[in-house]
Amino acid sequence: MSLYVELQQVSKVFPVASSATGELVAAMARDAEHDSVPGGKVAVDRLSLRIAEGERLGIIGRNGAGKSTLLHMIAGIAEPTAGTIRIKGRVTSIMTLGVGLRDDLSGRENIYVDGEIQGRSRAEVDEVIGQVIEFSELGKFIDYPVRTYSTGMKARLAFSMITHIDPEILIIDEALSVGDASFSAKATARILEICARGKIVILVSHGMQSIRDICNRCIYLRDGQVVLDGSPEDVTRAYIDEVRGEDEAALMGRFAAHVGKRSYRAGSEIRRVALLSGNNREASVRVEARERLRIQVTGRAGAWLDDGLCRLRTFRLDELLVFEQDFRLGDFADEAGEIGIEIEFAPLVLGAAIYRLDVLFIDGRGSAGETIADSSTVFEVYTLTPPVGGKPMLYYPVAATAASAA
Amino acid sequence: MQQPCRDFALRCVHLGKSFAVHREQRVWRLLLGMETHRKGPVVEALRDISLTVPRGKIVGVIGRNGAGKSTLLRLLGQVYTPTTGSIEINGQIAGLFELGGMGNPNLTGREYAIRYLQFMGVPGASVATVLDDIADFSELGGAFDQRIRTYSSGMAARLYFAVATACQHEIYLIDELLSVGDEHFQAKCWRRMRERLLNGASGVLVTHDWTAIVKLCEQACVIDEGRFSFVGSSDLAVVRYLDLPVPEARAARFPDTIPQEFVLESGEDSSVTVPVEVLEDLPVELAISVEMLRIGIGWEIVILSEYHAVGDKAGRYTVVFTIPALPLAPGRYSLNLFLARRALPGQRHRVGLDCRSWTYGNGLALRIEGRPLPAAVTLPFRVQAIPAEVA
Repeated sequence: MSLYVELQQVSKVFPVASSATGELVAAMARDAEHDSVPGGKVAVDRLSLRIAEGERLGIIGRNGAGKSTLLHMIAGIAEPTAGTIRIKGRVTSIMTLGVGLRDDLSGRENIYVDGEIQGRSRAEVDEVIGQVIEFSELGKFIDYPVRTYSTGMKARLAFSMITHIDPEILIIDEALSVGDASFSAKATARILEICARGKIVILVSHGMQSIRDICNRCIYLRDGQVVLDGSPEDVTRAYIDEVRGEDEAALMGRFAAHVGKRSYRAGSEIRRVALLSGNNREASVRVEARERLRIQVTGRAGAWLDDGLCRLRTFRLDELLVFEQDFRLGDFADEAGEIGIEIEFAPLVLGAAIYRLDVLFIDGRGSAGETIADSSTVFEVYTLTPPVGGKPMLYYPVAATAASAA
Repeated sequence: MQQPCRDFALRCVHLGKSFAVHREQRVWRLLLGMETHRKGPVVEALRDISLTVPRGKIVGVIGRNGAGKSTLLRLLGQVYTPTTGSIEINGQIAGLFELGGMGNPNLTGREYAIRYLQFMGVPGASVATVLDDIADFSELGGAFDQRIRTYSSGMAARLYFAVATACQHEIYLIDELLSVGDEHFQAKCWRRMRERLLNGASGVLVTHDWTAIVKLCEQACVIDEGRFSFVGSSDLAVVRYLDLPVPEARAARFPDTIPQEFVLESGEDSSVTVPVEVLEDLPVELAISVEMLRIGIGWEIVILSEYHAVGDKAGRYTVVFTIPALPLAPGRYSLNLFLARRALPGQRHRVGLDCRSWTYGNGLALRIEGRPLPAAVTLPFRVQAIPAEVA
């Protein structure tokens, strides 16, 4: 009989109460027959899923979509409020590193205890313990009680213990950032190795690339339900497309305080600032890196037209001023004094980040340069193909030619 | 117990901390009235740590897991008493470590904040304003009035950071903190720490993230197995901490004749000529990066090229990188060169053959001359008039 994980109509509801009494009331009001909690938060909603042997399932979704709750229930850490979970096979989960460690025992003793929990004989543990200790890089500390360890050392020990077992069903929550950079790289490599051995792998991650690298099936969760189920390529692509619209709205909502238009002199105003990415006709606040970007500005400057300046300033999220340029307003006005400017970046070389674009109309007379109208908007530069080796401020084209210097 | 004004905010001298390791069931021994002070093995977590934090500066301490970073912060924050040495503190301390330690997960975010502010002696009249600021900064929305145990770890971290930095303190002890939340929240945390620093705060930042050190600290120490193995400027501390193995440069290398400094003109079409010696018949590739390193202010890669082929056969080569209309403001930059063997099919990474990089301690200087720019960089653009009603 082959391994499987089967969920039928599984739900998980968390009670939400703001006081202890509230919780008690909620518990008493709980309706046993319908397994519902009044006013509870539904984390997983009547979800059915079957995972067969050989499947490496990726789970993606927004924060709060129910990914972790689902994992916890499969791992047996949480009980479903309703529905049934049937599992054939031994489940190993990598998510709560260090929880099972006994503080008063040494690292070495903990490895033996864990081996017993996993149902292995002492002889079996003896075979791998050398590798476990070596992997953990704990040195002499392996014979000290675990309570003398730092958080990072505990995580390293726990991770090393888990990686030397041969899992049947392996559950991985994305918190794989164990310890410092060098150990983390080692841990990731080991996870990939285990995935190749594991008979069923269930992985939760926000990293679309790791889902595509590791998994052969992917589900997209939203509000505790499966929205999409298919190949990792298709599902991650659909997910990215879908969250893009939500991201735009969220971005604008979050920076609402920074966005707006003001006029400080009667007769001057900035009417519209629009960002058009690629060949889009519609303005957008998410623009693709290395694509064409057009910024269109329209407005009036009244009596300040002839001497006025339009200043474009772009700040990165951390307040770094990355670009500033002035244009003479008079060069871009029609007979009626209506201003229309289009600044085109072809391509846009800004690196992926969130930016604020300030457009200012400035009184060019005198040296003070008083602002007569301004407008702020926020935009995000994104890329699906980030450069390898770092996150540069600019995606600037650098060409190279090599010649023999004989 | 405010000391008279001194030129340092915090100083410790020959600080050491040892922990006794008790193997026996000490509680039973205690209960049975037996001797508990038997000599056992001792873990020396820290030894001979001397550190002076000048007023208005944040000193970095960088080290791997288990090197003693958290123990040091606990000593400075007076959570532990030192085994040896002494600590002098001139100012009120705010610890950004073990956050939530004074809270109870059954408190709501708001209750936790009120408790913290009371503890810190914030006058009642200004509590309401500070609370609004905390609610706003932490972006918790309605969750601010929910209990902390219903928070995700990211939400809790946001709350704790917002609370601990809501008021200007004199000395901050920071543990990795600037790695909480998403990119947007991190940028906010950075801005806030920078603001506190500009207003005269001092502090100690312990971390294993070297980029944080060069962005916030001019001076830094490398901590290794409980002692400082290096004290000095933070870029050199990073080199020591990373301790990157410089490739042996046997198969290919940069000749000694390579210029130590390149000079380019801002805004001009520029080229950088790199001599390369290939000593074995190998497919060799070269990449270049321009990095901005302003100690204590910021570090970042500004331009990063892809790997370009140099040649497949042994011999001397000249590689010319061309950067059209150099978009960088005049100033000093670091030029980095990476020589590698092309990755074979199925290999994820190239094998490094030789390099020049400040992180290896052998970087090349790049000086950009020309008229100052109003911003960090400029972007190539075209501009035209459009009918006002179109847009």
